[in-house]
Amino acid sequence: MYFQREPLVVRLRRLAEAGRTGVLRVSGDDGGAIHLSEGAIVYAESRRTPGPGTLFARLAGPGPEPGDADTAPGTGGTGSARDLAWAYTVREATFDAALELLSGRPRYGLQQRFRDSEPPTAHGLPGLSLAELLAEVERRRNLVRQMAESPVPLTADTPLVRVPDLAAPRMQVSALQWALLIRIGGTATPRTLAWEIGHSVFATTLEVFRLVALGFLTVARPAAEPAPRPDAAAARSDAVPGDGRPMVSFLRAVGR
Amino acid sequence: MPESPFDAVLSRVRRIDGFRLGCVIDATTGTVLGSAGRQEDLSLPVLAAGTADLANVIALMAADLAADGGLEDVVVTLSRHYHLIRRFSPAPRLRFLLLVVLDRTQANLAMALRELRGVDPDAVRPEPALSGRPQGV
Repeated sequence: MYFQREPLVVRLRRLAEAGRTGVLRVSGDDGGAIHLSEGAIVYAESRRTPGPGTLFARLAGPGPEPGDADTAPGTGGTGSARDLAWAYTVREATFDAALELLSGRPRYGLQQRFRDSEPPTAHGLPGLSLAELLAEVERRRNLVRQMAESPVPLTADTPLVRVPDLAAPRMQVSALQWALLIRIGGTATPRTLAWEIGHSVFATTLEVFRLVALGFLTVARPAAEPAPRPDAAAARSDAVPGDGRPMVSFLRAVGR
Repeated sequence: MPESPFDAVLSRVRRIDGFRLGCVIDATTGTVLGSAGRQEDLSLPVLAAGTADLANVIALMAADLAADGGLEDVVVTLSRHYHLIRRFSPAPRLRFLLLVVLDRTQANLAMALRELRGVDPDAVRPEPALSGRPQGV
């Protein structure tokens, strides 16, 4: 059979256990591809998440051309700033895409096709075992669940608004948080922001969640609900309803 | 299979006296990017998650205090181990944490911190905090 419709994770496990090399392509608007080399996951891409190129270009200048594995940063394993940025962007894009491909709606209906003949894209970096990939995807799912169930429920597709006035006279943000804050407007969601700045959807959602915790942002209300009160203290209280800040715990996400 | 650049960073901290375990963590997502010196009695996922939580809480505190600077180091002293956490940014929008677990009976804390700060000036440089910028956001 050329196309298969078994769960993606089952197919992936069989390919990894057999030590296969090639590309597993998933069709559809939610689709993408997982690249394997001798059973290791070397890269993943999704149509719903940015690839590593844009982020790397913003971090460290133009990236390598496709197929330029011998000169890609990171190939020599020297640990320079450029090498670290490249390895990070590829790894983060892979986890981000894998989370999209392996999570959410049941994946039974997705058409998959594995091609041995298609050389995998490794970006000059070592691969991951399937167990490592699945452990990280599960950890991220737990964090996504924590954010969705927080006092200010947030997902990658939640519309955002800036809190109109801040209660604190001075606050401090990171470079990434600042890049997000200046782009909030209209129909911004963590996913649209991620595409705009080239960062992963998951990392952008987490950073947006921290900005909600700091009282800079809140989620957009449905049109039927009343608009936030104009004074600063009320605005901050609306941003974080209830007592305390919405927080995620990495420790709780890994369990025991 | 090529070596990861994170392994190259970790190979330098392996030389610290009393080294037991080290890992590079993405501070934003808590993802472990590389590790060295796995120990059966030390759970890497738990260590990494706890380190990322700690850095996250300190970042929230620093933001609220507008402390004109971000986290540089954290030293956690346990009865048998030192946990040294060093934050570094190979690029302005990247925040990594380098966690090194040392055996207290073999480690010299002052020397270890000095060595950790000098791992690689090219790859390891503090990220400038943007203090007060949100005014007018």
